[in-house]
Amino acid sequence: MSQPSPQRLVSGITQVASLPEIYMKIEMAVGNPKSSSKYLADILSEDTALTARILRLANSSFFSFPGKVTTVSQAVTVIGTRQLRDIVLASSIVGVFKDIPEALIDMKSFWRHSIACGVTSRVISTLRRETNVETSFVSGLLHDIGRLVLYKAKPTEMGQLIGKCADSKELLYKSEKEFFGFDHALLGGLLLKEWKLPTRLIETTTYHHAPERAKEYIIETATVHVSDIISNALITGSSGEKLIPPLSDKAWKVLGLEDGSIELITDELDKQYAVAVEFVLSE
Amino acid sequence: MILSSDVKDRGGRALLKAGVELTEKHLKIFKTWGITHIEIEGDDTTTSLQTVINAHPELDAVAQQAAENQFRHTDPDHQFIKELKALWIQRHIKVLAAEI
Repeated sequence: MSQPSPQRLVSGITQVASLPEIYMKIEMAVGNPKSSSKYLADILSEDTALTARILRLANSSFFSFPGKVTTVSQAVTVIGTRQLRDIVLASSIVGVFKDIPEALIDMKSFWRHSIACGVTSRVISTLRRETNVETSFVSGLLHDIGRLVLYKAKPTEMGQLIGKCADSKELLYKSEKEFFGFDHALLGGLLLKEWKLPTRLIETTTYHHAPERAKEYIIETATVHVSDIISNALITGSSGEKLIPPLSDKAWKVLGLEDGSIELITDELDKQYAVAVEFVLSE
Repeated sequence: MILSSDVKDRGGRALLKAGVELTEKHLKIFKTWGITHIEIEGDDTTTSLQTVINAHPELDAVAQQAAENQFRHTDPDHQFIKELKALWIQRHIKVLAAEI
């Protein structure tokens, strides 16, 4: 049986689902050096649910701001404009994939795995003292987005592949490649490209199972690769993969983390995970 | 809160010795230095795990075996994988104990 091209599957999604207008407006405002916190706050205020969540987030342990944040423009200042754009992107994407059949994949479980990967990426970037840790969060959060394209476009085939992997104990991403000729990582990268998201996010998503193939964002891709393995192992939640994927030693070494750092990472992951779940899933 | 082990920076240089009573000022300094984790007295999570294993000694072997399946596609000799697997086993024992 001939399989559709990955590009066609992605086009099928982008024709019916686009990123919300609020994200586009924020993206434009952040790119404009003249826009103020007040202007960003005005855009955000169009969405009251989002506004409430951003205020809760600004007051959470994620940002450890000493005082109480009461207005949206204060929240914009505490969180930071670029970080805010990344956070709005995260919550926007959850909304795009709402109607996937529960029998195929438990969407809460999917997002729990994705959020855990996002938080772990954020923690690793903090340990490495990188500057924009919020972009790391979004890279981790989106790494398996291609799987949602597959669940939406090819539900029957994906159901069969999941069943086959449960019996044979194979890895789902390898079975996808065998069956379709490409895997969810490649599809995810194509979708983010179609949505005109930054190259960094496209590369970390495309190569999260093959980090040694990353070209420009080698450390960022290695971060997501290692975070995926940690979150598959330690947090209840799954995007369909039931077993722990193999670790690329090269990617592990690129990060320069010391032996024993897993305890540091998991302590922080456990602390930040609940806040992130509350923000992304509004739980 | 009293520190139960030395706080070191990434280069291994000691910033604060074990036994010191922590103040707000110490916490601010840790933040500045990028210290995200400290150990304080009375914060011993391994004790509760040991209590679980003492009560249900069979769970240890069950979790070890489950870990072999879960990690079957990873390199068992890799130091990071060894550490991750050990943590997975600890968590899995607690999950199994909660189901009893």
